Amino acid sequence: MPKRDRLQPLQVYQLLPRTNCKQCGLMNCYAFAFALSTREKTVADCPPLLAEEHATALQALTAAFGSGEVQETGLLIERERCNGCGDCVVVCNRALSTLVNKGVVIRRDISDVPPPLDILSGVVEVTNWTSCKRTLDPPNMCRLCEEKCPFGALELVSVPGGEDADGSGD
Amino acid sequence: MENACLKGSAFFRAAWERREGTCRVGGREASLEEAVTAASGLLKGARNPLIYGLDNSTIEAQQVALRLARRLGAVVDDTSSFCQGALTQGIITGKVPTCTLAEAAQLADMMVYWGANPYHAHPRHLSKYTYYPRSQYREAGWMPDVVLAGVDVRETETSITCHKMFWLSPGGDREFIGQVMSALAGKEASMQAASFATLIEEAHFTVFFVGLGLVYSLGNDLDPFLGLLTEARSRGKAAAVPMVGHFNTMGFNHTLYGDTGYVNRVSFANGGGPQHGPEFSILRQLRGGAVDCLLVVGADPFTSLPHPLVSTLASVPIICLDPFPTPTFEGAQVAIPVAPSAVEVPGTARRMDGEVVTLPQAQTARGPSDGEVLGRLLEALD
Repeated sequence: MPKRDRLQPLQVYQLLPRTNCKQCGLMNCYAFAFALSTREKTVADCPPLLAEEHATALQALTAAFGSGEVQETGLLIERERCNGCGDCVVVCNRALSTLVNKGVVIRRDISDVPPPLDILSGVVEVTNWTSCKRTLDPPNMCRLCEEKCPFGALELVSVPGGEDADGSGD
Repeated sequence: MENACLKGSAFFRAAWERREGTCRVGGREASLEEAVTAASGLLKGARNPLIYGLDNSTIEAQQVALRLARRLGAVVDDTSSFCQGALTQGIITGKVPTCTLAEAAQLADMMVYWGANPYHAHPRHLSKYTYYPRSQYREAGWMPDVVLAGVDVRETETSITCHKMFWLSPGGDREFIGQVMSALAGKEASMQAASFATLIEEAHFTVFFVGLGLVYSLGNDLDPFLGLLTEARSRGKAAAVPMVGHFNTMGFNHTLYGDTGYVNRVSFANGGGPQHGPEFSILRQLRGGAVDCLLVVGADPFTSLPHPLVSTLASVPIICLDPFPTPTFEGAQVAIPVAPSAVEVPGTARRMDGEVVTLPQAQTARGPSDGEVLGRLLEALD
């Protein structure tokens, strides 16, 4: 299966025990579903989910959220999925040619701006994150690298330095 | 390691971490001189030797191999005889229109990946050569007006990326092409075929990237596809580029064509001019039991040939030149480790679009190149 089917928070909620037991430290299971989507919590933070009756749900949630690690940038890279095709790097170069910052359109020569992502040892790595539109103030919620990755190896799960995941499109 | 994709990175890493192997004759370690003597003895004694592979060698090494084949009166073949040979022959002989990848990136407004998944076979195909590169004539390159279409039987990474995807049942390519031709002629056709025909009619320059899915589905009879290509050309520019697997298959086909007028399956036997025909493919030669010595250069027939032929292969004395310990290398009567081309051996190669690429030497060679060993075999025969 080339691209993983991403679970939306509401779909995650459907898989949770929905007992609102608060053992995860959050107010209810719906909050936990969002926290799991942004990787602020892990599957193991929900003790009732480990019960045998929820084995199928646990398996699905572990498959969806069990691997990868969120970087400070809010980008989650699953290196075992990446084959270094470089699509994320080249589409990002296109995105950098025009920026909208506080209502002002900035045009830059893409050769002046190093791409935020690069392919090192055959897999994608963050190299110049300050080039990303998401580091602007206010951030520009571009998701091209995530959308164009045919392997589903990239996922922008949260705003860098922000509290919540953004659900906006580009 | 910067810039290389996972395949390229793994290839370079394997080449760097490669242990300098020793030659083996009959399972025992031997010096290079002993191995060359044993190999030349096998070749001299053979009545119908076959040289196979060369797709992972530089053009310079391929030229030496052809001199050796002429000297031996051997049969020469490569993987293209059961892969993309029919299409490459058409392209090299000028019967099938083609274009370079640069032309595709700059000018094409419709790209069709047919029976191919470049994300696995050629990971940088879209990002570096075709779809994503910034075009001189379109500022945003891929974004506004390039249609990326795919024809396949299953969901792949490429099918996810394509704007328009046409799903076929396995082996349904011939019927689909027939339907598209009907639609182009204004006759009744399936919705899917009509949609494909509309894309072709609207495009100014269509490039078909032909994968093995299409070639195997048509059973090497590419006439239906060539008919479609001609129809597309009558409405605008159209070209086909074969998605060849090995890095220098096109180089071998061009080299052999320049030498003999044929792209593969050539015999130099009987001292006359080169003979060509399907009977000289490695499959037919092995199946008929005609081969009494097999010189394999940079290929692994034990892995890539059909299983029933492997037992035949095991009974033939094999001389294998390879940088890596493949099953063929391990089972060979004479095994000679050579430096990997494009990493330790500089030279030239031809890409899938026929463009000549210069391969610089990335690190000092440890051991002789395949071209040098073939040259020594040639000398030993004199």
